[in-house]
Amino acid sequence: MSTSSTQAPTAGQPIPTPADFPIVWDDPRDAKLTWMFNDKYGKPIPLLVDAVMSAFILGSIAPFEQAGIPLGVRITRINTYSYLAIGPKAAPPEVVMKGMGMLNRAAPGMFKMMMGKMAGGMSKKIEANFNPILERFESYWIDEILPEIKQHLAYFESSDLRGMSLDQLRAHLAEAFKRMWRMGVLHGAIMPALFAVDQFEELYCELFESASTLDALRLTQGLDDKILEGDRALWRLSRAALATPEVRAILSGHAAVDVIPALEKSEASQPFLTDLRAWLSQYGQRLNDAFALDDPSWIEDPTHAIEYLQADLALPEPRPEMESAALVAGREKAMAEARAKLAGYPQPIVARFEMLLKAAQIGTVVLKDHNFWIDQRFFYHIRRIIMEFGGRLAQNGTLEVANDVFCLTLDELQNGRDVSMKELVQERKAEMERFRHVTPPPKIGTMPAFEMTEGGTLMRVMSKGELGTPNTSPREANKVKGIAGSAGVVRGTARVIHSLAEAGKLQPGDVLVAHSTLPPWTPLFATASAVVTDTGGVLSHSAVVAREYRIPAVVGTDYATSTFHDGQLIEVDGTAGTVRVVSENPQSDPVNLQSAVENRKSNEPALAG
Amino acid sequence: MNLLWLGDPKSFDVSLVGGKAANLSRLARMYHRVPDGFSLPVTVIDEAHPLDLRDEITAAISDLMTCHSLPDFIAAVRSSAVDEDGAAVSFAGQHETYLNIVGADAIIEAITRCWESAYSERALEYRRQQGLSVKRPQLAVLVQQLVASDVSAVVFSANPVTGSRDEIMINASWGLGESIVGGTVTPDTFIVRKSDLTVAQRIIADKQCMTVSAPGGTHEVEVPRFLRNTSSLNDEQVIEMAKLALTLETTMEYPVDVECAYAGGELYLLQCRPITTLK
Repeated sequence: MSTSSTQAPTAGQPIPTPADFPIVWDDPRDAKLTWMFNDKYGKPIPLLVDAVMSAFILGSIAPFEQAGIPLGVRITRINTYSYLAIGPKAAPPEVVMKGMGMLNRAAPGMFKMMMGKMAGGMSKKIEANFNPILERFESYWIDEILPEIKQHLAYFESSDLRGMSLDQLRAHLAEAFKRMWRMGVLHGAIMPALFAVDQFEELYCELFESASTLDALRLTQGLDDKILEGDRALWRLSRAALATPEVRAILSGHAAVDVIPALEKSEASQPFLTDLRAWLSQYGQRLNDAFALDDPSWIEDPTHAIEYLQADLALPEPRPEMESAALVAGREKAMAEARAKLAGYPQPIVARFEMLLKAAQIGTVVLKDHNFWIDQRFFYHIRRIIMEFGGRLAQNGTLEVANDVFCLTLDELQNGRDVSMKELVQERKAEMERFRHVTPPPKIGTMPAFEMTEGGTLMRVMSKGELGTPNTSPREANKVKGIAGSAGVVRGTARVIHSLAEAGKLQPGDVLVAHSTLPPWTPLFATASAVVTDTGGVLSHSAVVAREYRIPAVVGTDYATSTFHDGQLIEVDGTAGTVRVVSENPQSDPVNLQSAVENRKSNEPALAG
Repeated sequence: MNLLWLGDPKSFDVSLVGGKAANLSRLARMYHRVPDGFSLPVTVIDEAHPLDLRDEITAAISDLMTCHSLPDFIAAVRSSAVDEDGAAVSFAGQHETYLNIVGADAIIEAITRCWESAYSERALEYRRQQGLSVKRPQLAVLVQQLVASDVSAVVFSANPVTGSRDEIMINASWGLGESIVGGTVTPDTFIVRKSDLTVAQRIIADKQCMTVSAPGGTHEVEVPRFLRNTSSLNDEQVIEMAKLALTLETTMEYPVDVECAYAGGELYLLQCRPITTLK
């Protein structure tokens, strides 16, 4: 993401905006806040998607307040892009910002101490709130959080959208929004999962001198989760496809979009098609991303699933099972070693180690499983409801096409509007089109008057997840430094992937370079030899999944997608957290190319032991 | 029977088993939770090589494991040299100590090393060179269960700092006792009033290091942060230790310095000596 070319503004000063991104604040006080580009959607966001995302995010903040952390979050849509401001909630934001700015200028030492104390106070609150949850973390997830998630999903699964009158459908949508906020709360309530892994890793590194974060995380790997379960089921389908010559021929001889029609016509492919449909109904209740509501789900359009299946065909080894066995063996060995070492330690230490180990193991699974239940299944149902409206409005001529429904507001959908919906939609689409090629500035409003230099537990825990930490390494022309996400060193051809639509260009042995990876991308990890991302920490989705697939990963580099480009031969050192260009043009450099091809076989990251 | 169990009245004899074992035997008789063990008395070890006693030692260890339902027997093996009057005498090999020795074979090996350090040709040659007596020393060996202390403490039945005999002072910290005894950790301090057995003062220290068992011995490590400023004892435990010190003071009829430890929720008495420095 390119930043504005102007000089960095000083603390407390307005942030200059690029000429192609003029801002008119509805409420002038909003200009005093620091707004960050909310890249969860990334593109110009349709109004209804914005409404869904806002309701969900605001819900997910609620548990912070319950934990005594007065985190105020505002979400707004500026020039069709989503922006998010975070600040203390108690006082009006401009008062807090101004006060802190003044104190910082007048007495920086005292200011720093105060911020440290505040962060320390937050840390204590988080620890006091989260520690009892960690003690019963398995039951917390299985008995308290998951049943409610499943109950909401069951509610949506059992509702007969087709059979509803328009009024019933409107009431259903209102109910869905209530439950969406609640789903947000449940999503926020899994924050202790991150805390569990963080606390375990901290204790492990304290107890075992010279142990790294990745060493600690070995004890949490190789446990089954819903995401891997789906990947493995797809993998087994690819083996079934290889065993049936007709299916194999169709999969390797057709573009992904043409595969299902071809299978339908082939007598010998019917059993396979039945299995594929069973997979789709079980694991296809997903969108390309949680908030990609305006894209079809995999049940509506299974192209991406077929692409994964085609990619799996090219992989010769029984990978998922093999990786899993090695991870389980590695985990068991590391656990036995740790326990042997702790045998002579005081009981409170052994007890806390065992408690945190269990919480971290479950936490690691929860970090993935919640994606399956919430990010995939729940938003799949939300799309279904909205599309039911869209279908009806397109049928009665209110809209051109069903998908235009995403350009309406929630209020317009609930109450209708006097003006022509079609015109409204055209205007809004045109506005989004206008901004599609404008790069939204990463920050707008006012520069924060302070930096949280000592963020305490909250910042530390958050930075290990998707948030990541700002990269302090200087930017270089052909290498990046990030966070070691999964051990091992590998060379491969760089493929920069911006969305699943580009996934097809990833060939076995290539290095997947992305801004961040999303849960529906996991099957790509079977094809890739390594993963490099711009964002995220050691517990981000990309790093967690790379470890499960035992491929090296470097995350949170900030610049990977803007430093590397397709076709370069790059070396990923997932142990050191570095990535560099080895050759600009590996085709003309047979030695390097050969080493890249060999990677697939020789790459047994340090995790194997 | 060549071995003498701790607590057996025969092992009250200092000239037979050495000072430490004799003292612990008396304590074991009074207070039952002294880590269990046995001595190879002077009379036995003077006549037989430890390897000749293999079967008997193995049987004793197996008895201890059955008696205390232990999956392994983890031992401290110590030698103690005494002269005919029972006084400790000073020469190489008089107090060899092997901690965290697991299983019969390793224990027999440790006993053999104690024996060799005193009786081997090399040891005797060394003594000759040093101009020391080459008369065979009187050696006993104590094999005692090494309890995996969660918290170790030194309890004074009088306040050694103020000299007050109305107070009991407890120093306690995490892990085995070496870090407290060796002064490498600042322990928690508890003052208990003797009159009503109430905790008069608690000073919770930042306990940075602790001694833990490691294969073949012990080593000192950092205390993880979550536990450093946590009180090593609760009030109930403080009172239980105070009561133990009071009982011992009453029996011995002088103020005592008691080493004890909690392991698996049980209070073990490890050592008891008179306080010699009281004003």
